[in-house]
Amino acid sequence: MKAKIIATAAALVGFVALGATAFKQSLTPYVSFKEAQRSRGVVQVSGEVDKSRTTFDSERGILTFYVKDHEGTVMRVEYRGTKPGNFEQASKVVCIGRCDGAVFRAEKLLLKCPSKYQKAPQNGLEGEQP
Amino acid sequence: MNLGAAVLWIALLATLVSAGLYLYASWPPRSAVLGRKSGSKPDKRVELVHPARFAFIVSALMLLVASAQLMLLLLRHDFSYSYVVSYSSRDLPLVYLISSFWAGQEGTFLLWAALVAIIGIWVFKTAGDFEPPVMFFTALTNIALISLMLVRSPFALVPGEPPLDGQGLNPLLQDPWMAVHPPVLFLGFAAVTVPFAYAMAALWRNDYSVWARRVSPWAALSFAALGAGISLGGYWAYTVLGWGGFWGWDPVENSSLVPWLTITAALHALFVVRIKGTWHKTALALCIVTFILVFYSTFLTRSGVLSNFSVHSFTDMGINTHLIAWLVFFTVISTAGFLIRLKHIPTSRRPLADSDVHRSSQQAVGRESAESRQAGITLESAMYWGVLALILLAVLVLAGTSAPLITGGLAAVRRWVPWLAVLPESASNVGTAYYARVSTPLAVLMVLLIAAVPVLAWKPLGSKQVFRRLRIPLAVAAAVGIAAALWGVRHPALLALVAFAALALTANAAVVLRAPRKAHRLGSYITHVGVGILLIGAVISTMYSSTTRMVLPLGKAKRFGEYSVTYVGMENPPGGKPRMKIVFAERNGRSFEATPLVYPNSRGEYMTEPYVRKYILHDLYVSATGPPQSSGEGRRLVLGRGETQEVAGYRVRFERFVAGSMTGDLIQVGVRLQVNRGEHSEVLTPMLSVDKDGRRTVTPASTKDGALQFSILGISATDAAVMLAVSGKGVGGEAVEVAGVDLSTKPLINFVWLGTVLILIGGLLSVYRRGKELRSLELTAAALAKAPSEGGRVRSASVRRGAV
Repeated sequence: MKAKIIATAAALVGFVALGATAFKQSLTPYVSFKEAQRSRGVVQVSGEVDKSRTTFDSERGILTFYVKDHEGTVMRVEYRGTKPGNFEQASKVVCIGRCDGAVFRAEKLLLKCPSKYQKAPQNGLEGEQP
Repeated sequence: MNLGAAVLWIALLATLVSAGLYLYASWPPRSAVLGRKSGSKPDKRVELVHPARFAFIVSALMLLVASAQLMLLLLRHDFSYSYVVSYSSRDLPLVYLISSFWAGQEGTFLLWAALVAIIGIWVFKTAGDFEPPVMFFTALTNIALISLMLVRSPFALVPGEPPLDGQGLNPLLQDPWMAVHPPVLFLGFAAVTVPFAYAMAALWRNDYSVWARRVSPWAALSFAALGAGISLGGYWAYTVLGWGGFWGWDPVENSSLVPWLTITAALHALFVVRIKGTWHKTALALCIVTFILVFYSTFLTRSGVLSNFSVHSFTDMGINTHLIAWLVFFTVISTAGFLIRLKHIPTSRRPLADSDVHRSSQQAVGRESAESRQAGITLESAMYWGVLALILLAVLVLAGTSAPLITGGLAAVRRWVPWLAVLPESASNVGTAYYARVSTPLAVLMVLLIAAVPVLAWKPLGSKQVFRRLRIPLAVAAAVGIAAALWGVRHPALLALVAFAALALTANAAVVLRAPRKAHRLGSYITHVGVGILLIGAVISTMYSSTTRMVLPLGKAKRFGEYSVTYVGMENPPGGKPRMKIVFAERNGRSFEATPLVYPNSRGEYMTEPYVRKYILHDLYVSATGPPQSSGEGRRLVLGRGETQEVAGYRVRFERFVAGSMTGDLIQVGVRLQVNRGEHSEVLTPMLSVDKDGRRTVTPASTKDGALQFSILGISATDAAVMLAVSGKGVGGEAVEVAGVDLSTKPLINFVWLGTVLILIGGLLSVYRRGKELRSLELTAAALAKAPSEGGRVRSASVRRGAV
């Protein structure tokens, strides 16, 4: 019985520790581009897209655009893939990825437009996805 | 007030009356045993059960009327109701009109409450002397649900003139799966009310003798329904919504997974309670926690707190305060009840606290505890670690799901105490890596335990014996492990998981295969086989799925593995959603066309749905990354026969059509082009083949220097003209369409579905078996009531038989 209690306590401590480290490591914090340049891990930077300077390289399949974060830093963002469908409408874009010198390589783009799973508010009603 | 709203008010009143009467009938809280058992004069309060039932039936009928009313409003396109405006439109086909019932929050609350009411009727018919307290807590749940609907009514009217048409159903939800997934999931949500109500009733009566037996079929039903709802959601996400996999650890998915994990733990704890008479506290707590978690997940997913962190989208609908109030209420009453009774809940090995059973089994108890002092592994210790692993997994997944709340709270602390630099600065989410890391070791532990279950017993067993009995499954597991390592699974934890999952699969499958005729009694083994298959499929299909992002210019073939992949244009079928047409040609000349959907919704935003080509051992998964877009490189060329045009310094002349091989069901046509640049001249023959199903395969042709590539986009035989896509450097001119797609192979994904189905079949078999046991128990009890003098021995015998 005593051995069981000790083993249980050890298992609990072990998994709480594992959970806490995994939790801390996989948090992808929202940062500015300046902080992203200092950080090594995957981060999220949100900002406004300068739509006039968006280009697409069809040979390499890379979308390049410039994003201004909340501190006013403008950075070149490269994303492998075609322009996401709602790019033009997006007021804000969240780039998830990491900095590589003067370029931010985005692995994923989240577009902050009124959600695509949701209808426009009307009569004070909004939709949701169950 | 309209009909629907009035009906909801009546339903609330009836539920309140029913709850009040049931509460009075079960007063006082401590072991208020109904007349039948002791044979004493029936308490007057017992008679209140009849009006309480009546009131509950009235509330159930009212909820059904309200549901029918909402359905009718949707079918009739009554756009004076905002719910109808928000979620339906005139052009929706019938099945989607029906689905729009549960497309919004208000409708799902109605569905949930109606299901609780229907289940409630079934509960009071089977609850026996547990009826008053059990039904009190069931009615309490519905009071919560109905009151939430009165705050956000599904029957709210549109202010002013009703519009002519509704906003329609979100196109992503216009899918047959939408007709099944939410109702099944909410059946699970409704079902967990019953284990909660029984646990609370046991605490209320301070009587723990039969609650586990009564609750077991319901716990199994919750397990099966919740599990079915979750897996339908996973299948839907995989095949239609295009989230890339069957499980994304999205907050919404997690929030129904966590109660499923706890009800699974509860099922195991109840098993021990039934047979050994211990573990009451664990089982009670798990039944209660599951219910609270369902409410908590409703709060997480509907309150808008996660709206920045979930692919599902939610908005604060003004019911937060009410939801939190109910959540706190249920948490407080159950915690209080549990703490008040803590000292009374049996902890010793006391099988079925019926006093007569108790006495006759005293000796057995003494013998058992002597046995358990021997060293070795028992079924109970396996159960202990299994339940612990399930609870830990539930806690860790819950922590990840609540990460935005936790980090938000910690960030708020940091604002007050700035020197605590370890704390996060702002609310943030955890990535899927977190879940993979915490769930893998727990899954390894679980499959090991599952593998041991068929050979373990309540008597301790030495580890040598365990290994000996498992030698064949161990050999299979080793073989699977080696095969997986050779195939490419190198990560040690994942390799262990795959091999041990194979061990669990084989060990449990052996039990079923040894006695296939008894399979209906072996639900848990079938479920465990399913868990093994599911985990193998989950590991291989998610960790070893390869995704390639490709950018495909119109008509230009690119290589993907053994395929030559060509985007041949968009197709807009009448009545369907626009789709990309992408031709996959294999080396052996066969080909198929993949048609991932990409279409704008009513606001002009693009939605995508993948194309999945299923094979037995893998799936090919094709999804558009967005709508096709223009690229400066390349142009379209329309040439009549004999006509010459100039492209990027090359002179291109269309000479004639060339008939290719014409087998029975494949027509192949080539176009002979004379391409000149200065003195240099060459002949190119791009091909186009069409099979009997109209599927097209494009075989482009390139100039020798590789500068230009020609593909056939279309042919007009009558005009003797051809439309070509020309791509290459410096072609300029008209833009060429470029399609972006993600191509992935998902190995062994079918294991995931097969495992899920087996888990559910096993769960349903348990529902059936536990229900049958309960009925036979009741029959015996009824027989005993008739002949009370000689009852004791008969009852204990039948109870024990039922237990195995």
